[in-house]
Amino acid sequence: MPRKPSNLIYGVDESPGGIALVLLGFQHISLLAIAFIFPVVVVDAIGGTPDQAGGLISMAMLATGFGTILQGINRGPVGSGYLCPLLNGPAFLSASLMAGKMGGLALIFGMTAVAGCFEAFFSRLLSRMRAVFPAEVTGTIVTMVGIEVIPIAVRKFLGVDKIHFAPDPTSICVAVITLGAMACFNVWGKGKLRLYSVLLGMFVGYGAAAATGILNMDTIRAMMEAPFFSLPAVGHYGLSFQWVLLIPFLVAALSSALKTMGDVTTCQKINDSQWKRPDMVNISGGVLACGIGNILSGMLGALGQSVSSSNIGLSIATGATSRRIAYSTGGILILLAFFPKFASIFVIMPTPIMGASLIFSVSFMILAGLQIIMSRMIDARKTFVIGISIIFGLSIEFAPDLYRNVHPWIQPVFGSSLSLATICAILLNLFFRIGIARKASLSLKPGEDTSEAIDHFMEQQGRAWGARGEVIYKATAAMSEFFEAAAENALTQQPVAMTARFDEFNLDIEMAYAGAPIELPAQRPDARDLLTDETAPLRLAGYMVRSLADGAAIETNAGQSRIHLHFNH
Amino acid sequence: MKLWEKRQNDVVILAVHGRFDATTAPLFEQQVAPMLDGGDKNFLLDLAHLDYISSAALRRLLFLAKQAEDKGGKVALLSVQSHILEIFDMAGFTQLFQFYTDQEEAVRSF
Repeated sequence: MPRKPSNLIYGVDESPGGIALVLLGFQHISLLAIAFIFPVVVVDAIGGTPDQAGGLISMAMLATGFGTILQGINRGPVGSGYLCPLLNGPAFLSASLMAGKMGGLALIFGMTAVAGCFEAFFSRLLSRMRAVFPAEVTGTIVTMVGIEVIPIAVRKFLGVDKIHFAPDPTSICVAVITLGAMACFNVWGKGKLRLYSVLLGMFVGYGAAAATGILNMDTIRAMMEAPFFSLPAVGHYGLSFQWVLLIPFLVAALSSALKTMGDVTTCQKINDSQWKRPDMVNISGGVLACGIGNILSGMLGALGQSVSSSNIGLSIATGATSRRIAYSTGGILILLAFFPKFASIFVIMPTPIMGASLIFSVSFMILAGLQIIMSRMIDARKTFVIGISIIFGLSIEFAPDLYRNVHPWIQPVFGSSLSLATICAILLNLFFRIGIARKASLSLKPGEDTSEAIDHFMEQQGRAWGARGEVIYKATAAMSEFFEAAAENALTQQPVAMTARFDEFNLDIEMAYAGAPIELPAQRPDARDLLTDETAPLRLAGYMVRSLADGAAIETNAGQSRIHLHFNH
Repeated sequence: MKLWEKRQNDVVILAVHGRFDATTAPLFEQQVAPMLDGGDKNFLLDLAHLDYISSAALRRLLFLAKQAEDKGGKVALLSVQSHILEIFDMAGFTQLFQFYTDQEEAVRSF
């Protein structure tokens, strides 16, 4: 049963109540709105009209609204049950541009629906792929999910957009004020101030943008001219299919699925103070929701969607992860698709405010990824899995030209630092699994300096297995406790053969020796016993061995004793 | 194990680093015995850098507490890390000692 972390104001199963739900929904939409730029980019690239771009934004609201609600469902096979808002993100951008240039919007939508089917199918395989996604791989993916947003976040923070090609001092000023306000509300604000820190920061930012002229009357007039109500033109462009585009769209769907995996893993971790490992069945539900969302996107006439990492960062920052916020965010998005005038408030958001909001959220996302990585003991193998994957992922951001001539079919893999880092991490993890024994043995004689040898043995194995530090610590303590008691009470004069077996869920230690068994009492001796009774120290040692383990048993046969210790992992 | 000793008022502050078990317990006793013989009765053990403690070491602490109490003093513990505290709790030793996170407050308690 997940335990709500103390830093959360509203946990996943709690409800913030009516008005708060609406405000928190708007706060999430203000971040999602940044992605409304992608439909504009695609329509612009294929020579479409501003009306078509507006229509695509309406469809984006409708499709991602449904997708966000689906993702929040916590019963049945569809949905992760977490607040994981969806957006028309960059995962499908490259493939959509190819499709748009080849066959217009109908081809984009048809291929997006096919990609959604593939993603839904892939989700059904995930629950059997636990070994492919250990903590160091999912942690790397989550870290890269945050890092991938950095280029766009920093560009916007500095005021660089399609009109301004160099950093603009006025924009930087507005961005610094916005980010500063968000950080101040979040760090020093309590309760409501922290809960709405992004929304309040944006208000401050809009004020600064108006004062500096970045938000001018022309932009406000454009907003006012938008119609109050309009029915979205569902499925207006139809659907078409081209075999040649199958691979790019399948790769895009895979990227989207992997990103969802990273994001849902983060949601699991931030909602459970006792989090130990990714829950693959839950992740599978999240990826299925995303796949269905993409089928819906294609049918309605919107670009492909994936989970918005920035919004997960926002929920960490504000301490509000309630799934009801997913329902309110999704509901408001669907409504906004019918009311273009209100929707345009988000569409006209000044670039530096977008940049400040992204930087604010991404900070939390990157830290969540690093925390997942560091939840396990790290050895050279894992260092390479994490390090090499991050290095090659970042190489796309540092030197994008290096991958310019990659075949268009696999362009989505090399077009995103997240995709490349993810593929690297998965392959390297599979490669470095070669030669890791799940079982290791050590033989030591009680009375010699055993504690250091046990410590070294368990430390080395724990790192090779990628075990959790606290489990290895307890096992080491139980083994040391037994050896101390065996030496002090002369339980054996012979070496003790120890065997440690590990899989992701269990650590089992067996200690076999020729000699008397140690008693593992259920009751511990009290202080008075320890001061007066000579047998009490051995009973305390036996009690500690038993209590440190999650399960303990002793077998004796013809003068041979065998202790089994089980530790949950 | 390494031990660092300092004094504040009439309290002996002993910082214990590393592993405290049956192997290292004699070192602890060698350091503490002359202090008890010399009339010291108030001990504050700083366990911030203690990596591991075994039941044999816990017994040594119990004996020290008994000896200090017999002289009208006490033993208190400072900055105990959570995994070490878990061992104290498991052994039922959390009721036997006072735990502090602030050194000044701990010294004032004697």
